[in-house]
Amino acid sequence: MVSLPNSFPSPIRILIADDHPLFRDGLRRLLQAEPGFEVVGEASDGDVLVDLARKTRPDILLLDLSMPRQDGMEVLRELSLSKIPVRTLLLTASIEKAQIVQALKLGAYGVILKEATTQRLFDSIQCVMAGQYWIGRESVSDLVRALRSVAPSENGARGKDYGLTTRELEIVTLVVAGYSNPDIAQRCSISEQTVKHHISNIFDKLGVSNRLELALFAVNHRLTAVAS
Amino acid sequence: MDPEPVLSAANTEISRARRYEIGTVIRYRARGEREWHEGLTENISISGVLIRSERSLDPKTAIEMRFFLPVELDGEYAAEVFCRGFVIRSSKCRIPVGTFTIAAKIMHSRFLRQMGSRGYVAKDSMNGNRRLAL
Repeated sequence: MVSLPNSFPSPIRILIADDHPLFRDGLRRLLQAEPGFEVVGEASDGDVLVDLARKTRPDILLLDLSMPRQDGMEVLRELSLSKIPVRTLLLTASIEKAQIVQALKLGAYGVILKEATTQRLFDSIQCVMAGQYWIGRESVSDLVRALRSVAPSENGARGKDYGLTTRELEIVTLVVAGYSNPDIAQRCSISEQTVKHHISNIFDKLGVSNRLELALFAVNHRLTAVAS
Repeated sequence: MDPEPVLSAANTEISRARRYEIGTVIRYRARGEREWHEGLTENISISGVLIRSERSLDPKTAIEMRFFLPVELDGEYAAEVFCRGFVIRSSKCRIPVGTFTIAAKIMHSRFLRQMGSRGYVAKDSMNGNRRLAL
């Protein structure tokens, strides 16, 4: 597993970007009271932020998603084009799952909600400093969940069934869960030979060649999506 | 993402397997390393995976990779897929600056069935099930 250092030799340099002065002020005080953090600047809108980031060279940018002039996504896009090696944590009251993925693709390292505790904020900064991604309360598991929720097909609903029978769809789900043929046979109260027959039919219908491709196809086409 | 090749493995090709655009967290390490590194998958096929990461790896480096299938299942945990393979190439990305894409060939994969917080059961094409402590 990835190990997190407990401390860093020099303070983590942080830039705050938020359009609410009271929030910025409170956040700065919180961070400055914590050993190991140093606030190197504050920006109230997206226009000045990139210049400030270029001048101050922060390690971490705490970026409000909704700011005047340029919103957080536009700032992320601009930062990603610049040569500023800053790691950005989106700090926001709320965010759509699709925005999380968009932000990650633009180079953000994670999202922390404004309702989070101070300790969570500190944890998220240190986690991102250690090169990990941070979404919500946990570093990886919530991110995986968020990415699961925005898989390629829309709305979380099961997509086409590609002519698969109910039994075959059940077997696809068990394959994606990592069950072996004997396990599937036991779960479905059928013989292992019947499982192999079903899996062979599934491969033919979907045009896949092995279990890994079946699982990738199922994820990509939402064959196993939970009915909503 | 606009990859600019900086490293490539000579005389190596990725077969034209169907690529699935699946974005999920992937952990990888060079064979022999203890620590796992994180990246995001750009696409995955049965023969390879494209990873976006802060790190580049030399072509031909043997690597291990693991990722959870990013899907919700009714009453089950989706499996974690464990793969072994080697790096085909590393490319520097123009956006975001400081990131790389690593194209890796998958030589072997197996599914790790999640058993809640207690561990995993491994399944590969050659062997039966066995419990793993990871």
